[in-house]
Amino acid sequence: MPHVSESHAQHDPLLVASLAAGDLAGADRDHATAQIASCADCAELHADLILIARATAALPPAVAPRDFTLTPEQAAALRPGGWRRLVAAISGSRPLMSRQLGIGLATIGLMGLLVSTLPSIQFGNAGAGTAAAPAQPAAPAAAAAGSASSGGETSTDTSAGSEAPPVGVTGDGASARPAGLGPIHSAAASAQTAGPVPGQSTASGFGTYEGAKGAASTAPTTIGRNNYDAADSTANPEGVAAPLDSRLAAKEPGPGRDLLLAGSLVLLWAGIALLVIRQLVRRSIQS
Amino acid sequence: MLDSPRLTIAVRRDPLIVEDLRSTTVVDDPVQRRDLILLERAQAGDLDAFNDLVLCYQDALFALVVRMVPDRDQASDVTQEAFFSAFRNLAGFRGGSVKSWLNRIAVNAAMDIQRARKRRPVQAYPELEDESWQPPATEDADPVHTALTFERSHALNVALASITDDQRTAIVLFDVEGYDYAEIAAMTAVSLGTVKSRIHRGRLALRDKLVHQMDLFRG
Repeated sequence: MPHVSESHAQHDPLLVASLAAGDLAGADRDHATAQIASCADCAELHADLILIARATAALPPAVAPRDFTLTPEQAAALRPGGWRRLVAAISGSRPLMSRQLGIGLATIGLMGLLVSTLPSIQFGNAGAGTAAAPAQPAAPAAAAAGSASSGGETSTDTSAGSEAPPVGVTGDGASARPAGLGPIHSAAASAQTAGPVPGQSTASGFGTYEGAKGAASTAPTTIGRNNYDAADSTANPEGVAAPLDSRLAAKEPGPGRDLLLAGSLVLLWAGIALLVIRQLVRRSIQS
Repeated sequence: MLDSPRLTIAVRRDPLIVEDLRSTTVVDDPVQRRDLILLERAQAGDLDAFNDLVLCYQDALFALVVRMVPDRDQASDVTQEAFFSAFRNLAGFRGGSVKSWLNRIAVNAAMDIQRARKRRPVQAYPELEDESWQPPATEDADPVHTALTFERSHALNVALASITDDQRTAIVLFDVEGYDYAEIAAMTAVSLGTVKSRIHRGRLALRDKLVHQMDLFRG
């Protein structure tokens, strides 16, 4: 190993290499030139680097050891066919178009997903509002009136806050029932406890004893839901039944919403798939 | 003025299609013109035209690859794979220099091999077989000069094989192939500063390896 002076050890060899490559200008160039002028080792390094660069450029060309021409069989195997030709057509000639198409499809799919899920959220919130709002004023009213609620009062409460009839019913039943009754009662039992009022306004649609009973006899599932609602409202007088309502609303999407959801998912996946395929094809082209 | 023959010709001439406009910029170079004709025929399904391109560039591509992947067997495989890839993606050619397009494909194929070697390190590159690297000797060549050139090439090839893949690739593309910094940055997908740094550090590494043999280069 040649002797290296102490001062040279502190010099930056990259600066010398940059100068040898002709990449320096201005003050850096002046600094490097001065360094070479003052340090013999730096000057030698500079000269060696230039020699190495010249020798690398003058390396004799290598000759291919064999013929790389393609046979017809190889060509047939390599020719893109079927879906690869389609993908190449999408990704090859107009890359920007496929990219925009992929992004557009994915965006539309996302928007469709949002739109298809948003109504259920709004619905759930509205339900929460209606369940919570009438339950609170109805409870003191029921307490004041004893066990039976006046039809007009109750119907006003339920009709004011109820766009979803079952919610109105549960609010009614819960408000009319003493809180100590226990959490699980049938709608019919609740209505009986509250006291049947034959002439009660049916603004809520299910406010009457007959209505509740009829519902119990004709639609057991509705009654079952009312049970849960009643239990929930009883257990949570502050109206914590809202999440349940939103869950129930989400459980019953309309067929149109289903269609929108499915279509959005298809578009979203198609867009993502297009972008991924495009990326893969571009990578294979580059390699 | 309207009777001018030049204007008449200009009016009568059919509108140029886009490909003609593009090719007018490169048609001055006969090699490029030949390449474009061969490539268009290959794109139309003419395998002979593609094989003509292979014959034109197989030595150059192998020379490039064998410096990036200093193992002749691997370099041969990479070169073949590069031509396969070029054939598969003939439709992906978007104008410009056919040689640069092929070189880019070969560089990417070589870099893939380099990455695979990094992931699965087996052993260092074997020492290059010297007989394949002997420069062509002419009848009137000085034997001493020929031997010196051979020694120098051998030493440099061994040193090149011992530096990092990134540095070797940058040096080969810059010094041997003559690409500029921007082209190398585009080919290797790194920044301009990184390319410069790799070249500078690579040359310093070469000098470290060759420090005891520098007399070969000074002579």
